[in-house]
Amino acid sequence: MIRRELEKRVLALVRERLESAQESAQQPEPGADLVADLGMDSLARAELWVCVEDEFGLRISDVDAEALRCADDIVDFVVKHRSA
Amino acid sequence: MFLVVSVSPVLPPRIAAWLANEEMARIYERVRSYRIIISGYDLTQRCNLRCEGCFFFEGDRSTGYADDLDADRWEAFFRSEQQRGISYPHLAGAEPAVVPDRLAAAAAVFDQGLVYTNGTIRIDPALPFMLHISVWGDDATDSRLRGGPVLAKALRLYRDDPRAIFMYTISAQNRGEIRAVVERVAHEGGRISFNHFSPTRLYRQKLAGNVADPLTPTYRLSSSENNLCLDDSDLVAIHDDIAELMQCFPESVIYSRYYNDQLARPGPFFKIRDGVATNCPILNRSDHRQYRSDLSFDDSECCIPNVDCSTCRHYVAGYSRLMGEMRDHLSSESEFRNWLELVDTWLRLHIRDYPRDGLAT
Repeated sequence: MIRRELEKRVLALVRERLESAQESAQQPEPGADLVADLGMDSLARAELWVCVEDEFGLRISDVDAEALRCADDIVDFVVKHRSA
Repeated sequence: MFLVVSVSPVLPPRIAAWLANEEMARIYERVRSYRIIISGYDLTQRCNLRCEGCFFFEGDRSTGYADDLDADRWEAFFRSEQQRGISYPHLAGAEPAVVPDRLAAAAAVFDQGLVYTNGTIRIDPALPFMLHISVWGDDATDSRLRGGPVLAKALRLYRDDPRAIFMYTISAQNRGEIRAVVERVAHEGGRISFNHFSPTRLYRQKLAGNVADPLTPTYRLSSSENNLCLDDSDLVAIHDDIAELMQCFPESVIYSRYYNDQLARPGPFFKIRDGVATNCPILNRSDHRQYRSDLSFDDSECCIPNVDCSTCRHYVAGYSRLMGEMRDHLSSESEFRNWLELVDTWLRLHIRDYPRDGLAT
């Protein structure tokens, strides 16, 4: 999967979580901060990590999760760990 | 650039699998409807009490900072925090009730939050925040450890206040008084929960040196033989006492059954490396900061300043750890139920007028 497709899929997952948690979800940008810009609380992010793990067959540790602050970070993480 | 994507607002199957149960689905939807993003704020360096083993004063990481910012500066700061995504401030001290103008500044920005207070100074009833009022035992123990009958005054000041939850810090000095205090609070129509005394690093160092110091207000009584620290046998006895009280006073005692079970396990509650917890969300979470009274903060400090991670069972850190481990509770319905009961109970402690119907366990 090329990076652009990966980014599109990750953004779709982020948006899915936003729509699931909020009445009107913003269209997330790749660099949008999950907390400050998108208002995702810890539970919304936990749901997102479950989605990312299942979508890409990865395990995200709690420590790694805290470093994932935007969709771009998630894409980088997936690229690194899928090829590892 | 806008991407056009087709999405469906569904839960991931690993979570949805446990929500076929109607009761669990209802509670899960309830807990995820609260968007709580927390940071902590020491509003002041001042307190009207000096309690034995106090984590604020019995250490060097919380004191010694400037304490002279006016309310306008605090309000502007809180607005910047809101911009940073914070939706739920934890307002602490030393004692936040001694700076009512700073509490009002927080209330001008946030419509929810929590104040940690000793309960001896009336906090404006118009403020929207929940109040966790620290309790250290009955009147005699209060007087010995805190210098006066603190609980008696707090019960008088906060009778019928829907924001108030009395938070009993259980220590080796007061574990025999739990039932009597719960009965007293319940008789007054109040609500009560529990915290486990968690010593600061400095307090433990002093115990190791076994040097009592009558001139240090927060370390005037303790010794290596007689102090506030809990041991593994205490934890089991406390667990059983709390479990019984939860049965006897279901309207007054707000406590998670699962949390109670987890805290009774022997040994450190956190994974420790080089003396520091590696799995404490308060330390690890990038959005959480613990601000001091001069608005500086240190990412290496949690909201319980100076606490010794290796013996920490403080309720703020304890609940946070388990709530953050949702993905470790997805392997069975019972595990997920445990986690959900914990989160639902935590919200009862933090949200005004939270529904009373909890998850059956």
